[in-house]
Amino acid sequence: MSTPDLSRRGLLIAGGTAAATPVVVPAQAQPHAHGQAPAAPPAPHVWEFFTGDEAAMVSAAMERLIPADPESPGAIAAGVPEFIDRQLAGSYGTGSRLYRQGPFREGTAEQGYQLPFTPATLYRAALPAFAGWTRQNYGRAFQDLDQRLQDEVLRKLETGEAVFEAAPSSLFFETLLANTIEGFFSDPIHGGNRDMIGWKLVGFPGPYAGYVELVGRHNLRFDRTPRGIAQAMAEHAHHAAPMNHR
Amino acid sequence: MRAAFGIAVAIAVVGGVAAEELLGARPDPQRIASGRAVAAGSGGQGQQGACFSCHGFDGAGQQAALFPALAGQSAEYLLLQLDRYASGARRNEVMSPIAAAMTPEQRRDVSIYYATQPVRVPEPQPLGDVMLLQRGGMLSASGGADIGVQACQNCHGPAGIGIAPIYPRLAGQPAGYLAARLTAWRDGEAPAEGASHQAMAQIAKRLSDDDIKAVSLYFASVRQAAASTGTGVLR
Amino acid sequence: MTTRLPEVDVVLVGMGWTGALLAKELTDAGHRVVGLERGHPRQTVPDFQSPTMHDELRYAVRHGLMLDPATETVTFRNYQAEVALPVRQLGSFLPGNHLGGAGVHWNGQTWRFQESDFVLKSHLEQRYGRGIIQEGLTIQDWGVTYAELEPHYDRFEKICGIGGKAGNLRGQIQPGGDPFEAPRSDEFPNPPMPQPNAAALFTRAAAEVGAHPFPVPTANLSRPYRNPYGCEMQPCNACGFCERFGCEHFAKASPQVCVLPALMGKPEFELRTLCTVTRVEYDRTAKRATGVTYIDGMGREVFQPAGLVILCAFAYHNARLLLLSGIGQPYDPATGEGSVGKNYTYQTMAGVSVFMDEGTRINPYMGAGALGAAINDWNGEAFDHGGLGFVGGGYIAAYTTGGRPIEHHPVPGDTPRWGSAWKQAVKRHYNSTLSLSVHGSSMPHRGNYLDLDPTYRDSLGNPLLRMTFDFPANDRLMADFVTDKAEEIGRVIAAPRNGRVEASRRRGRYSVVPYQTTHNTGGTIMGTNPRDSVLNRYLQCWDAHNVFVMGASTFAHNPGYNPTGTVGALALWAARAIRDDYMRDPRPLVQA
Repeated sequence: MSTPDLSRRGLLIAGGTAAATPVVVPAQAQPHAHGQAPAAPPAPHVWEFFTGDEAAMVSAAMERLIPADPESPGAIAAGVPEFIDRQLAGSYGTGSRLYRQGPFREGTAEQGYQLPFTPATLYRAALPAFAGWTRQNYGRAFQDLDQRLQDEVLRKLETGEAVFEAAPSSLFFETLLANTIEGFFSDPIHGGNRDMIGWKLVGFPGPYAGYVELVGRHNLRFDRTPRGIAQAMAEHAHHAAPMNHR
Repeated sequence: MRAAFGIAVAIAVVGGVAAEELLGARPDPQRIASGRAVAAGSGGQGQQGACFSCHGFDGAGQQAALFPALAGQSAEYLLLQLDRYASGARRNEVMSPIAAAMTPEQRRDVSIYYATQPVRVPEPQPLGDVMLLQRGGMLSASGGADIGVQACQNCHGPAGIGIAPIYPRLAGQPAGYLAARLTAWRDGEAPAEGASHQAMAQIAKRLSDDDIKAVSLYFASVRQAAASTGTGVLR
Repeated sequence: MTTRLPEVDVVLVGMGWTGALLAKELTDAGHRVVGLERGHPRQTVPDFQSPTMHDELRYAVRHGLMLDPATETVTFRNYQAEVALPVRQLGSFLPGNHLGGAGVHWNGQTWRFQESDFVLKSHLEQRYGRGIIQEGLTIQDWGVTYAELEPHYDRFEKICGIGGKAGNLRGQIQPGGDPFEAPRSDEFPNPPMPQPNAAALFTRAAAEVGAHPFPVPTANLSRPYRNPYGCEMQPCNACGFCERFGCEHFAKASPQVCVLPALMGKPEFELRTLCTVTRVEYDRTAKRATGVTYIDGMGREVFQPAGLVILCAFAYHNARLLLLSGIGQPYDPATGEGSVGKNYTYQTMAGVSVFMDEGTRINPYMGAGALGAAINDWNGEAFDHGGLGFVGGGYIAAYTTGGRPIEHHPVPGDTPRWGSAWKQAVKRHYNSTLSLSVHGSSMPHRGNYLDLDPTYRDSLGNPLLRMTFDFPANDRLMADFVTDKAEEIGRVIAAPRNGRVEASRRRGRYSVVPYQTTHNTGGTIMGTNPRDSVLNRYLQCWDAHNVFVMGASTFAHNPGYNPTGTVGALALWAARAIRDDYMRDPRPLVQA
């Protein structure tokens, strides 16, 4: 069994993520390492859940959670906002796998999440509160603040110091953080981890896997380019041959 | 009862172990060059036969003669096969004496050479029965519930393009070559040592003649865009 | 309007490991068996095939193979004085769903318990005196002995094709195996898996501190194998997707691979899926069950009469079903009377992370569910508890189960939780962090139990099970003691690798939020008398001789090992009693 992560918070976690601003183009459009065909430019994303402003705000927040740095791209380039948008518009957003019967009452931390929000209704309630609180306290939209102030705002959400009427700010923050990590590291078929940016960061080779002959080669340097579930299409494996129809 | 922390059984391992590299992960141009010489039959040291005469310098193999393509196959995989031919663990009338006559360095270098050759797109050719091809594609992608065989792509990658370094590329190999391998395993030839290869004996035993024909035709028909080279090579 | 079906010999509630084993054993004896499963049917091909099965988000994070809490969950509180609230999203444990149950998504770590575990109360009192057992702990003997179970352990290991190295063959200690294991009659049917770097580092360090490391017995197959049922298994390729995933290779022991191929299609057996059993119909005066009532996939209520009812659901579902059916006396923590729901136990988990230099590569994705090495030097009764102030123990293991990065991205404790520094730390430590698991026992306490919740209901309108649980002081002391040992081994590993060692100790109250294990045990325990237990030594209900209960809910306490090996052995032990004795002459097999 896995070693328990005893530090993990008991909030509405395990979710999707959202929002890339359309203006942000993946910063690393440079040719790929190793002769692989350059990734096709992502198809334009139609926001299903976020409004344009929400997408811009949430994207900016995610980019602070997993920022681009000189070595590797961040959450926006990895498509994390689009990932969360799709998650929230789908069954995760509508609260599948959530026990939703009342009565609802406050519990102990050990009893876990006890609010009626689904992930989608949580974002729906928290996003205007997040926008309004930031504008009220910092005078501008979150996405227009400089990075230092964006981090400050996020820390105030994380600690609950930013008090929202509509939903606990720390719950929103934890959900956003969990969703951002999911979007950064999940298979690209879900819309995030574009170009396998997250997997390349850590060296995870992806779902095409089988290593039993390598297990015993200790300390092996293994840096195979990762390949996602749908890579067959990306690598253009296809039938090029005419068939004889009988 | 045993006390906690008795005298240490001293197995002194101090410091990290040196990194082990996969063969061909960072191909050395000199080795590629000497591998090419081996492929040309001029590797020296009693070499018999020239690889290129059957497999080509580009490693494309020959469809009609059932000579497998080597290009884009992983160096580790190619070396394992040569070593097994040399030791007698795998037998083939043509390959066994050739591999046995090579030095370990020659086997290594020629493996690296062919692994670095880009996968070529052969001319399309008629493949015959479309229903067989369909069955082959299904076995590759999702396996056969009826025969209890898992999907080929679990190990051989999407459409059989291989998962380096252990699992060989099947895409674009001559159908006759693939069918011959499966038939040999089904008839009792031992696959290479190693758990994943052992699985092939079990799998082959469950395949009918038509299944073998189907997957062989299917993989033979798969082409990969020339632009994406080196899937089988770690760089 | 309830549909009444023709009577069958045996009805099984739940078609996971124990349901499959019982169905096979009883149909082999010619009995007509109906297996009721509330989930869907599913098979290795096509349902578990990769790469789609290797979707961490869908299966590990969103729990694609687990029981949907919207259908049924439990309510939870630490103490009786609190109001239990529903576990609204899965966390601490992940009950399975669908054909094969949790036997599909387990890791495959397959252990035997120690000889002392089955006679724990007698053993402890004899060895240390009565005072060794802390006030409030309700430790008891199980009513069965290891020697009686041994042939069934052996058979279950052969059914699963377990790979391992014997450490104690008929009393002879064997090099390379676990010297603290109970004596086994035979070697494992298959050799261990190759050992990865993490296990090798652990093995050397553990030996250095004087412990006795060995490869963990694994249900991830190390070579092609045909089991005693004639089912063929294939070798594991170490893809790193075991726990929370189905195996695409026929390489992880599961009902689908090891039993169902020999069961499905037999004329004596009928599988009915999407059937949720709501109660066992119980004739209180005759002290017999008449059958079970279930809701089928169309929402219709159906009564299936049966001569014999066997509960094979996941552990705490068995307790709930008995409570919903009014079979046995519910446990009352105030008086200690009653037995249904009593001795609910869990697993006391802790861990140690060793963050090493970048040159040390663990390659965590080259994994398998039970791939690794362990020591039992501080498990069970392998060590002297005199003066320690606790009973029980745990194993310490270095597993390499997989490197799926949403959930596996270890960073040192002082790393910020997000931002550039977090990202850098994730990159830095992903491939060079070794994790040691401390897998500790869980002793029963009079305040830890299961009953029906007065408020919350499942999707069919029936009361949810209410879980009241916190770790007893005994188990906290135990966990700290074993974690100290793990930390010491961690320091030996870390020293030459510029490493740092961080322990995740068992602190605070039990929480249902972070995943710990799905080893929920007890609640319908076996024992020596009807006052203290629900079941006799053959897993037969004291209060209804034609009701048997399988699974980890029968454990009187939870030792410091994974439960599945013992779950399988007990099921085969009970199956033999049912088949060779009970079916010939239905009656209580033990006189109360």
